[in-house]
Amino acid sequence: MGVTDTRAPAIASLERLRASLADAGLDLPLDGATEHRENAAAAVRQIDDYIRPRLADLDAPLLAVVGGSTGSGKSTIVNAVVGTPLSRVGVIRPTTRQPILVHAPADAGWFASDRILPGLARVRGALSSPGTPASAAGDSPAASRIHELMLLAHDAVPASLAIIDAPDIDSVAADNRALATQLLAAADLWVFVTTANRYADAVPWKLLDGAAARSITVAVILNRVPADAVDDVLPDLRAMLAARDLADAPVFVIEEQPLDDLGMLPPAAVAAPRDWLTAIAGDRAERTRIAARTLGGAIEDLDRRVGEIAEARQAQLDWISGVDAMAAADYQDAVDAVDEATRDGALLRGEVLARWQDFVGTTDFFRKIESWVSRTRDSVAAWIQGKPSPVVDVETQIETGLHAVIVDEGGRAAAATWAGLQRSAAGRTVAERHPELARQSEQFSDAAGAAIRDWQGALLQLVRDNAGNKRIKARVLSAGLNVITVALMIVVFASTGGLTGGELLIAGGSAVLGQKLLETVFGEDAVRRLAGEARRDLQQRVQTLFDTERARVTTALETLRFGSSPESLRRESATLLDDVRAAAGS
Amino acid sequence: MSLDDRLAALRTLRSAGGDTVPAALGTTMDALLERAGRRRELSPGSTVVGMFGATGSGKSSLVNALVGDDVARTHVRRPTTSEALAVTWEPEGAADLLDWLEVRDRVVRVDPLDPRARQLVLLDLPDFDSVEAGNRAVAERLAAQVDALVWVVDPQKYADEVLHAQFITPHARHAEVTLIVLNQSDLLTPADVPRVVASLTEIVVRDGIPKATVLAVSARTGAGIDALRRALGDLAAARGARDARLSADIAALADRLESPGDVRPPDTRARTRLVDEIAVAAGADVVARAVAGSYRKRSAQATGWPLVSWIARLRADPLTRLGLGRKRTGKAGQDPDLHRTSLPPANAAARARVSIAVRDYADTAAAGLTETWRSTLRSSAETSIATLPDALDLAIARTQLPDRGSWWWVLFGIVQWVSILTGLVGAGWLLGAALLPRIGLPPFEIPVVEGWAVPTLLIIAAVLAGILLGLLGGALGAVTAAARRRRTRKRLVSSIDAVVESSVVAPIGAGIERARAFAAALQAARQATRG
Repeated sequence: MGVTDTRAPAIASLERLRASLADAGLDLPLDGATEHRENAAAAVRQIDDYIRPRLADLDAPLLAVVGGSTGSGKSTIVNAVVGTPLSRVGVIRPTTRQPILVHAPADAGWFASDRILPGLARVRGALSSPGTPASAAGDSPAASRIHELMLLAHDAVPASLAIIDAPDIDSVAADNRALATQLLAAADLWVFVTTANRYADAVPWKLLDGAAARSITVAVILNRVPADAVDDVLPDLRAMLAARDLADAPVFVIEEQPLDDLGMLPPAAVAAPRDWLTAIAGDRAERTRIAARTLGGAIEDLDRRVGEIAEARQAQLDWISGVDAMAAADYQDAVDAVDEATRDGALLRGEVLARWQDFVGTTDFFRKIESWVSRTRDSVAAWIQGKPSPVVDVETQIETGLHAVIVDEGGRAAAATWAGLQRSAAGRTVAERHPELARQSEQFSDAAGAAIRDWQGALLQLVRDNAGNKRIKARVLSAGLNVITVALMIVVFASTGGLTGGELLIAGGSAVLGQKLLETVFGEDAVRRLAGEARRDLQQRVQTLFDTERARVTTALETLRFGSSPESLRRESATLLDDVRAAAGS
Repeated sequence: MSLDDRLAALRTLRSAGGDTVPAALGTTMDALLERAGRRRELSPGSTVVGMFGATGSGKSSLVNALVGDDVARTHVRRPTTSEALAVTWEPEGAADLLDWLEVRDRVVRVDPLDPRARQLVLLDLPDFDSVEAGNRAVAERLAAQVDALVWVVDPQKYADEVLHAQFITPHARHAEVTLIVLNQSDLLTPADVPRVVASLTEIVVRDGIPKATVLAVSARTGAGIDALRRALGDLAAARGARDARLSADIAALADRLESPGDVRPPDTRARTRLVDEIAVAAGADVVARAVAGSYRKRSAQATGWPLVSWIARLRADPLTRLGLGRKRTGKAGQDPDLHRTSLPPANAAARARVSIAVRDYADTAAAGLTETWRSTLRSSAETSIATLPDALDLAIARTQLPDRGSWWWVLFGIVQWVSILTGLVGAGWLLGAALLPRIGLPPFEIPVVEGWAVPTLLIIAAVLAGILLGLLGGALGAVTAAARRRRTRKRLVSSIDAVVESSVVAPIGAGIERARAFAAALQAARQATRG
């Protein structure tokens, strides 16, 4: 049972591939994802159940699985081959639930351990007392016992070949179907049972197609054939087998015949299949050949499956990247929209400019006087009544306006990403797991307010930093630090983008005053530089704000990225194939 | 509930569902409406019964046994039947029906299998589980078209997944027009027959047909065939199979549709909040303040002391500065619509506030609805948001603002000028008294009252009157301006309310109404077909 050195690398590669398959990361319900998930789980199971033990030891006893449709008489045939009622038979479908493995007493050691089919618990069964009818043999079909493998030792079974009576492949019981598929995947050879009624059913042929693709040795038993129908049905069945690359498969016909008192077929009816099995069991070279062929087929089939799974995994990763890119575009739109709203005077139109005008007046001489009069009056009134001065009012107007624009764009971007998620089933599961993505985050409004205030603070600092020499400092102080800062905001919001070009276009007449004021204080070039710096600072802060919002989507998607990469799946499978071939060649 | 009601419910589901119904289901709904319409036009008295089953279950043998003649081909080679075969007893009227069913093989027999079943159309159909995919396609198509479904099973295959999961379960709603027949019962021992029937019944109940009855028959021995004939006769005699089938189709389809969730009545408080917020964002207060300011300015111009009131004239009219005010109606025939186009686009902040308010309103309205319906309301809100700021500006531009002057301005004006004249008279008098003697004219006497010269009194009175009038005018102006401001705001809010109603509340209300209609129709369509 020792692993020879030539196989060690193959087994190590297999373990790596198994680990990757177990963590394939196919959680998103994309098209066909359910099948791919099942495919990955089946591949892992087949590695545990069959490939690993067979790779470790080609000389271990062969496992023949008797499989087929519900009602085709699998259990009756197993009972007849062994010559005693082991497995319960009956008219109520589905019959066999608990799988039964019957082996020669000498082989007991091979099957008692978890070497093969480690997912099934082992129960050592006892033979029914002689004279028990087949309809009462074995255990009653309790659904709960489907994950137990009953082991029975019997002298009639040839050494080095065990037989499993599998559940049906096509009944309404989903557990039966799953277990049957698992057992067939763990078999070295198949004894496939069908009937005259059933031989054209689609479900078994799908499995037989799979068997042909994996080069499994198959024998077909055509059961319950009315005596007069053999000449019609048999050639038809052989033609169907030939059409599916299974022309070599031996076909054994059992005619419809009455069972004896114990519900057993006469031994003569199953003589041919029994002889076939005994012949294989007795020929060591043939056994090894069959085992090697099935193993090779299984590993090649595994490689094909891994290819499909890798593709499915790639599709998942691509989908995640697509959604991430969509969210990125939505939030970039939001950043652009805020940028759009903060240029060309879009934010200043109407009220803000009107108040600014109230504050600085216009070039008109009389208005200047009037404005001076009203300013004086307002300052006095403000001083008496404790109202904010008009320049603070302008600042507040800008602040709340900018805040509304940012919050609106945050809501719009969140809604757009949410709508994008709703368009696909996979997106809907992400949305279900993260209902908070439907709108902007709760702290977004506060964060936007803080960002704006920080920007205003930075503007104040910028003005202070640029009031370097005494002359400028004096001018700033005479106009008022607040006034200069607000004038700078007005210039920033009134100018078109692309300040680097040097052209500072001004939207609204009274905004010119702001610029004039700044130019008198700082000089023309400095104003351009200051405005450019202030705008870049704002853009930076808005970008950071929306990046934080968008990160919610990226984080929500991040957990879905967990799992093996498609490249490692493909590479590990290719390595396994190479290692197995090298082991076979040596 | 009649089939007509149910079809009406289906049509409502289709029209009210709109985009919320997945495209594939929408196509199924259209197909069902079309199918129901066609079937109802064709031979209303006929009852089409289809025999469905796995390959080898003996559908053809059973048809032969029922008819009492070898009409259908039977063979041991599988699958045997790949074309549908129809047996009729009254060929008149059935021909169009069979054309619609696309059944070309037709056999006419004289003696009905049951006296009440003269108008029965019995179909022998291909299997649905063999390697021949074409057979399954025919069976699936006709399973959707026939009036009654007979599932034929046999002891070997009665528990197959294909039969139960893919055929009986999807037709669980059709229990009323479903028969389940266990054929080949002769292959079982007499004692096993009831056990198998019980086991099959249990599986069918699990498929979703709680009152399933299973008929055990044998085409070979003839056992149970009479009972099956009677059951078919019952179906044909009731003449309800066609409608029951279509009703069950609608109910089954409705089961696959997602309910729109909890539809709540419109929230009036949310609506008030929406209008308030939009009124603020659209600048109702700013305009109202401007109207008041404009009034105060013009009032000061008209009623102030003429010697200083000219200064007020220099101040810009707040209304004109907003692009509103009297000037817009100054030229004859100037349409506010055209006028509007010369206004700059709305302030970005105002747009943002409007958009936040509308989105909030849509989310409040959609509370309780499923995500699918919520997103239709959201997209309707986005459409509103795109057009709303311009509509609001237009509404404000069109609102008749109380910007006319007051009648008492003229009065005050006259009195002001009279007092100016009085003052001038006093001044002239004094001037005359002082200058006349210098040019040699005799001075006229200046009367004195209580020690005060009358011209001086005139000047003092004029100045005092001017200032007092100015103060009074100012006070009156302030009071009226405040009233104007309130009136303006009220008018603007009512204009804005109308815009909000037509471009936000109504579309979203219509969406909610669609959800309500959908929910009601869904409930109607899902009602059990019987009882």
